[in-house]
Amino acid sequence: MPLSRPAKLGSFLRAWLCALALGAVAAPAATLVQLSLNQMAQQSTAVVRASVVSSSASFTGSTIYTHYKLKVTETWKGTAPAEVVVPGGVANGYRQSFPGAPLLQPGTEYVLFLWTSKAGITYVMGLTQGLFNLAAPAGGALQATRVPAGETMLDAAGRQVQDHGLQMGLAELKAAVAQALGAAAGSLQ
Amino acid sequence: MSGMRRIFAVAAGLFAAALPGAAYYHFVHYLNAGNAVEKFDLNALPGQTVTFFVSESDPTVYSANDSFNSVLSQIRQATAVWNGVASSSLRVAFGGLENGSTLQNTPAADVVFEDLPPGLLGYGGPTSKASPVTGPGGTFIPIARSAVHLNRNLTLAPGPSYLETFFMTTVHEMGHALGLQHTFTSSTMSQATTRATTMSHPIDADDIAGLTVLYPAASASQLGSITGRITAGGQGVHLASVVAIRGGAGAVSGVTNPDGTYRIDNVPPGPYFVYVHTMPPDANICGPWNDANGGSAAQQDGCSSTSGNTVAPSGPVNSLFYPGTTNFTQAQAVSVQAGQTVTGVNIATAARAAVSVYDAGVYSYFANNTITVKPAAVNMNAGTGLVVASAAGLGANGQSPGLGVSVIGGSVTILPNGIQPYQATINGVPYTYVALYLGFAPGAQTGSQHMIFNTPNYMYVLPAGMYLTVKPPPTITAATPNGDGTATITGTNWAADTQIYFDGLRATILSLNAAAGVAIVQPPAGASGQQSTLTAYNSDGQNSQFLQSASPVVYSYPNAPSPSVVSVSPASLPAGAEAAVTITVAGMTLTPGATVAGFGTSDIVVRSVFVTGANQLVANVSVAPGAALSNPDISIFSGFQLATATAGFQITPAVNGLPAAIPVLTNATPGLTGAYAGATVTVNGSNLSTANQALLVQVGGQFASVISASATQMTLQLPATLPPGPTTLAIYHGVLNAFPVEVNIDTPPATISAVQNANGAAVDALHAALQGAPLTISLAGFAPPTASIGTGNVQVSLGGVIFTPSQVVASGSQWQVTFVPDGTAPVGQAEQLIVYLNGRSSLPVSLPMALPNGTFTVSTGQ
Repeated sequence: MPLSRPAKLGSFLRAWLCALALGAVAAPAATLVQLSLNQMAQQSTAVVRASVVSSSASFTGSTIYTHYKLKVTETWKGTAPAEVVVPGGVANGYRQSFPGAPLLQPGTEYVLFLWTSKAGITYVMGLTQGLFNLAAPAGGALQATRVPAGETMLDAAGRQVQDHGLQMGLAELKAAVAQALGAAAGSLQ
Repeated sequence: MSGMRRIFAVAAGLFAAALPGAAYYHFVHYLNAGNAVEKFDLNALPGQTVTFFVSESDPTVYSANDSFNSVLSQIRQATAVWNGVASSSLRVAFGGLENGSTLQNTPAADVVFEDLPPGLLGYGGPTSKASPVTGPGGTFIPIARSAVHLNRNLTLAPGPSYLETFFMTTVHEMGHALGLQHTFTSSTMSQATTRATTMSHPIDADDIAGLTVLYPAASASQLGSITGRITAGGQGVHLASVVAIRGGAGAVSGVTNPDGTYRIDNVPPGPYFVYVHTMPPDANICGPWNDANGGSAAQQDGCSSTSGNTVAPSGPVNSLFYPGTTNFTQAQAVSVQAGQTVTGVNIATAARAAVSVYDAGVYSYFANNTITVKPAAVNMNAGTGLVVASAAGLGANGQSPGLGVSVIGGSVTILPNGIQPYQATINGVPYTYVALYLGFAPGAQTGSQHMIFNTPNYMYVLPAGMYLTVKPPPTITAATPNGDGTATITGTNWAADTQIYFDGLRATILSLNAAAGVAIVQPPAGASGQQSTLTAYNSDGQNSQFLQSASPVVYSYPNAPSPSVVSVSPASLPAGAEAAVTITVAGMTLTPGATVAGFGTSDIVVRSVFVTGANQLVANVSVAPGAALSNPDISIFSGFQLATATAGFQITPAVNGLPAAIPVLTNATPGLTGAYAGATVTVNGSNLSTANQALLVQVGGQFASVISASATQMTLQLPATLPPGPTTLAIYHGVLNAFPVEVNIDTPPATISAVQNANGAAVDALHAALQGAPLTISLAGFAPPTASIGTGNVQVSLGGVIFTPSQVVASGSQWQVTFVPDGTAPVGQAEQLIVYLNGRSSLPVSLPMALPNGTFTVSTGQ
């Protein structure tokens, strides 16, 4: 029994981890596909720093959406939307529950990676993946934190993978988004 | 008082009167009167059946060789999985396609394909009325409609639809739609990070228990319960997960109430170890909601446990096995008996700052370590095994050096120095994994293995973390049409029970040589030009997509005319009707057992389908009394073939007093089953008889004797000359004719031709059987001589006491069943003897049953 990491173990883990890194990732009762930070920046229609002002819920077709009004303080990509919707909520005497759908707290500040459908509905990317809480530790700089998604997350080959939370400084996150968008723009030239 | 202790106190104070929680975790509301869960109201569902419909807006982007027909086949199979839970009284059906404009009044569920934001592939859950209702089973929140949302783009995971991941995702989301939330037992309702179910084993004990809690059937009485209380610092722990686990079987769980009490119901009998753990921080559960003051409808509080009127969980606690240890060897087993409750399984644990380990997964590797599989499939014939474990918190911060890993059951051991931490960094993010080197005990058992991870200060249990096999994954190497509609499939690593799937449908295996890897199969009926992806599934949980997902073998169906619905009769029915609808199709071949009819509205339930010809079927349908007036779609499926008639049916206003017979014939003689010629049967329905009017009933064109009748039930003697098979039941109650329905006439029952004792002497009216002495029953018409019948298929009833035979063998044209009437056999001069084959009874005979000494009177000794 080898006590140190065997070459074979290293090679297959490298292969696996490469697959993990290259793959997409997703969320719960929801099924999510794992997105890298670059993918979220590039595939989003808007990236904003915003506070939630208020919330309300209503039916759109047979689905209840909770609408969160946003007060946008910075727009890192696209046009800042007035609101974002999350599936589920309580409306007209009915409750619709979708485990994995995030709850945004009025008064709380976030960085949101957003995607607007052709129908004009603006979602958080990947339910929870595109939602970063902003908070500063005592005496420290603002940190952007995303909790891991416990939901079904799959890689690009359809295999289940594990999500990992992200935490980085707000400035670092902003720079990473700018770099991703710059790389995408460069690749188009 | 610490924050957590305050939560303990507040929760316990608010809900001290709450009823014991249910096993599993549902969508729970705390009311003044106790707990209420969200579930379908069985009384509002025709045939206690919830139907899943698929939106006509099908996916718009497919991978190569994928199709809407394949998608529909998987959704059909997923409904069949939940419908197969025998201990649940909820039936789950596939209703075909639905038109968005069809008005529907009956609760149901919809599968909707829509544009979803990147990263989100699907989600599901119930829509419930905010107000509780009280029925015979207690107070609950009725589900009005449920939904499963899937992405229109099936090129993204979990698609394409023929993959196991698409199927398992659909099964999981449907579970939410039925009222189940996440659990932490590696079952189908567990989050994907820990889920261990497969196409071969799509739901586990916890899924079955969870559904059974919501919709218990009579057979649930054969299961047991465990109750107790979880405390930390003397205070009840709210929303802790309590799990009953044992080697070789799935775990079953429950969740604690605000006062720390818990109840795990529907536990299969056996010895169990019980442990408590805190749900992971990413558990993603909705509620529980505090509706004690009617706050539910007033707040938009989504699913978060920290939102609105939800009741927060207690803080994290240490994981412990009962009675209070992290050392599994010191855990104390509890014995669960059928119909019994084990009480007082209390665990006193302690609060901690955080859940330091959660969301574990264990991976194995194939094809020179280029392919990963989770949960790990480990071939124990390989001598030793190597898997890699991943978990949030596992191995980080120096914990790996003190990590201990063990496997419940003794089949697997971790080799000396067999725990190797492994760290890697991806895109600047550190990840920590643990390599585990495995050894296998002599006589190790295949199947799921439960794993325990002990860090220096925390215990984490991962049910079904890996499973043992005795061979590598199967493959498919070729598929060749044979010209007669069958196909020859070849592959490797097959077993006698290997199944071959064409996309999401199982082929009928006509012959299979596992050693040679050759099978002749009858493919499911295919759509024109369909390119169907083949997958071999072994019952050990492995499938050929493990190794071949990048280049699976594809079977090409020939081009054929487009299927269509030619005629429907009757094409309309009033609300409240029960009727047989005859449907003729073209361009498709209807196959018995593989044909499904959908009527596009939850107000119509298809009770049964009879294929009466290659292009014709008869569907017994039930139209809800409160049905909305509508023109729903009809869709007919046979294999992958689909014929639709948009707005092809009509629901008209109810007819006052219309008789309606539910097309199920139930033998009315106690102890007997089967509806055969000459049998006395009951039929349920509505408006079956009217006062002062003669009830006329015809079966197969012959009048049946009406023995008794009320508005809701009639008892008939079936005509003695009815041939077996489907036939028509018609009713005239003196004022109105019912719509005819199709019923099935069973074959004549087996007859008992002789009963002999061990010496071959006849047991008859003059020669009694003795307690403790074996009896052999000879039966005619029991089964074909070549049938394969095990003792588990047969039961013997003697005086109402059921015995399992020791031997069942063919003897010429007859069968012989041997059993021992032990001391539980009733003693009497004329005890009724019946033999059941798969639940179907023989005709009874009477025989004298005596004590071992040949007498019929028990001595009192006085």
